[in-house]
Amino acid sequence: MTAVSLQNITKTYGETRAIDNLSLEIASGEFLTLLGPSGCGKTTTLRAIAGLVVQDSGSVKIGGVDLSAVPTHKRNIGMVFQSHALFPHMTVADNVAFGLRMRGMAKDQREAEVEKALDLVRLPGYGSRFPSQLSGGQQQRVALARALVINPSVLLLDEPFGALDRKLRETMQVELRELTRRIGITAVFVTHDQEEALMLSDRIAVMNAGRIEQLGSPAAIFEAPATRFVADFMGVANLIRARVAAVNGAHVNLEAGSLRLLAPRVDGLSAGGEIDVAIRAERMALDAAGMAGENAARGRILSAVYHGNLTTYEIDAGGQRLTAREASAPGTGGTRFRAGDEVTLRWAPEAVRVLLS
Amino acid sequence: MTRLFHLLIGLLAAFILAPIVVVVVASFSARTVPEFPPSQWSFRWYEHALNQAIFVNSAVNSLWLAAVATLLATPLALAVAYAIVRGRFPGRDALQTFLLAPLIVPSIVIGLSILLALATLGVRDIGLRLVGAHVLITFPYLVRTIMASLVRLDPMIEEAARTLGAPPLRTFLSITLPLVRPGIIAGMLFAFIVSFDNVSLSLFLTNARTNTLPLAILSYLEFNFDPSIAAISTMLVVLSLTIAVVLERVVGLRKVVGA
Amino acid sequence: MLKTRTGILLLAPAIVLMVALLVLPVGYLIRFSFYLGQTGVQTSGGFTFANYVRLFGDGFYLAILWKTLWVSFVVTVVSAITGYPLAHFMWKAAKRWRAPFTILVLSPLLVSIVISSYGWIVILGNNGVVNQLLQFLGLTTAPVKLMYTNFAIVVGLVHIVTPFMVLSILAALEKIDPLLNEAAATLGANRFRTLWHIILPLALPGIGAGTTIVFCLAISAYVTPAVMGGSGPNFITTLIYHQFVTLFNWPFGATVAAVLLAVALTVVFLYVRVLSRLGAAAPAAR
Repeated sequence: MTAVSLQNITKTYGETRAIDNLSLEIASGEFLTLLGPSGCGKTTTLRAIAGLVVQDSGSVKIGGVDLSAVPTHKRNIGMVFQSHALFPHMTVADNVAFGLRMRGMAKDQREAEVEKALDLVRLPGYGSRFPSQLSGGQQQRVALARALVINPSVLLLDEPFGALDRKLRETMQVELRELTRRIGITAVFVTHDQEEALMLSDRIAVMNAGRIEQLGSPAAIFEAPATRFVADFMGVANLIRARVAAVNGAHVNLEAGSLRLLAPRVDGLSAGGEIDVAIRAERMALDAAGMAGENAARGRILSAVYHGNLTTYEIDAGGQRLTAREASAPGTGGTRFRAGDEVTLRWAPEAVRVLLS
Repeated sequence: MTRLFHLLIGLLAAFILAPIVVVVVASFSARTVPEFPPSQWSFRWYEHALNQAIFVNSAVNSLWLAAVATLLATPLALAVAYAIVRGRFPGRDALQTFLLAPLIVPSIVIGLSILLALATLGVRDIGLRLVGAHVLITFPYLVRTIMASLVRLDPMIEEAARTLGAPPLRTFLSITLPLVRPGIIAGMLFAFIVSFDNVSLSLFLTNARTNTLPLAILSYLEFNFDPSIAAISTMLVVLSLTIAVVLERVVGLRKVVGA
Repeated sequence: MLKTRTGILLLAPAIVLMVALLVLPVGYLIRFSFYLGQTGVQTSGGFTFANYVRLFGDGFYLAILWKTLWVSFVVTVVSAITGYPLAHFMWKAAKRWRAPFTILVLSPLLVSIVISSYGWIVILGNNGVVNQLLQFLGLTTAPVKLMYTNFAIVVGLVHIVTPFMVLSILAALEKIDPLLNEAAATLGANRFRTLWHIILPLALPGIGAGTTIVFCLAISAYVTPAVMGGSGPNFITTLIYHQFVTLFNWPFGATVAAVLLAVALTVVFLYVRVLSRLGAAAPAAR
């Protein structure tokens, strides 16, 4: 069942299109993430669902009802903001109870609900404190309780962990994932952090310039980026412009300078055409010995950067710059090779991802 | 170098405080001319000042005027500050400059213009024209102070209230208003002082019977020089400085003045 | 964000107030200055420049105009020189000094001008504090005339405008990255050179804003020239008062007021022009 449905949403600010004819269906109970760099329109899209931004055209439906003309306060949504946006003049309990009060719930019932909500976010007994007396993580949990207690049709989260330090962020991510699955709520999450998106989401919509570039499961987005933008944003280090040399059977032969690549065949390719391919750095294997050939290149190490469990090499392979990443070798001071070393790079045909132009 | 600099600061501080300190000390003088330091000390000029009907009546007038003008200007300023800070419309900056114009136009010109316009219209009610004029000059100070506290209020807090089901007016009353209250109170206190101390605007709008305290002091000074003025001034200094300390504690004085 | 309709509703009362009590009356005042006066609100004859011809053709009035501008200029320069160290001190002062010093610097604004003028009389008068001190030290036998002079007006006005100058400069100083001082020091600049080459240029916008405000306040000050200057009209503002209240020649008073307004608006306009030029030249400085 569809919980939230966006149809042909467009929103412009002066000359810029913040959202460009965007359509999206979010299933009931689904955790969907809008992922993209700043200015890609992800927050505007979320705010359009909340009614905090009114789209120029298109419609927003929640639970099958068109809410395009309904103001925010009548949409029954729960929203968590990056700055947590707790009411500083109210106690934690009053903050959580605010939405219930707006719905005219009686005081006794309200108190019981608030207590339940605070239990849910593991802050029992914090009701009488003020937001300023809580840590950053606790504040965000109160914000979550406040948004959930009203039993919203959809939970909207706008980079809620952006202000937290790394360790706390990871704890909160695990908690949020566990909590939303347990209560089965539909959630729309906005972030620019690809790792966060990968670990939380059922589906990810990667956004660029007000449009959805790719929509799919975390694995699909990570393993099979559809466009150069998505590949780049998901951290694919090797984006190579190549010419189609031949199409035969299940594979295509590609050439990029002196580099020869074999890739799985995709539709719409013909010999002589130019395409982009993506190869993740960690799918490149390095050897001291070996020969250049199909999906193998000889090159010279330009730099070796040790970053703990991984080491990244920049390699010049006949004028083509390639990046390889591997687990750091123990007992060698980390790096197997040094700048200037001659090496051979190898990769499997399945590692070569042909991108849409 | 540092010592020289601190000496300079000390001298400048002395310059700023000098007239006020002299007035306060001279108010306790027993003689008929103000002396610094007094050769004999007494409270007689306080008694003398408080027994003068002109001072008492004009002080009551000034208190009323300042209170009424502030209370009338505050909701206007609140509405304007909210519209400017939270609104996005063309000509917003121009409008903001226009609304702060009473700070740019010399207040003697404002006073004169109002006198002239109302005299031509046949409005002779002194209370009415004083209140109108004082609303006008307290208004920009209120707008600036309230704007300063609204700007510091995260708009997401208001948005959060709306996502939780609060209609706009309810959001304003239960979220925005309580959170900018210190700014509003500070602005009101400062507006009160501005109105209470004003001379050049009231100058043309009062007469001998209906006078404000600063003008009563001014006209008394033309013919008398006794320390009863110092006694009144001391009482006013205490009042002003009390308000100043409260403002500094509550919101920070500089935010109020807005420079 | 606010709906446009709500915005207009919120702004409407204030705009009505401004138009009714500021725009229309000031417009009327200017119109009034183009008629000849009888008594008070009565005028005679048709539209005429006679009042302006009279104002700018009479040495007596020109002297008053000139004196106002000159005294205000001196006040502006002096207050910039005295205001800078105060702002610098407040900028660098330890936290516990801030609050009391803020109240101190703002005190001329919080205490009625009438009161501080009275205080200056006690200090500068013939039997005042300064003269007694001078005589006690044997520097003079007869009292030096300090009160009711241009000197007295300058002293009184500098006192009143100090808060505005200091706060303007302080606002600019507080935008300076504190690390700039250290950066300059690591590059080998001593404190004077840091002040001269780094801090002062960055404080310039504040000094500019301060001088604009102060000049406008000075030319439109009434109480200080009235109480501390000599008798008779000696300043634009006292001339206006004299025409209105003593001579009852309202149109001529309105003419002088219109000229005062024009001077104030010109100064503000020039400041805004310079500011936008500077802004266009160095956007990073803002």
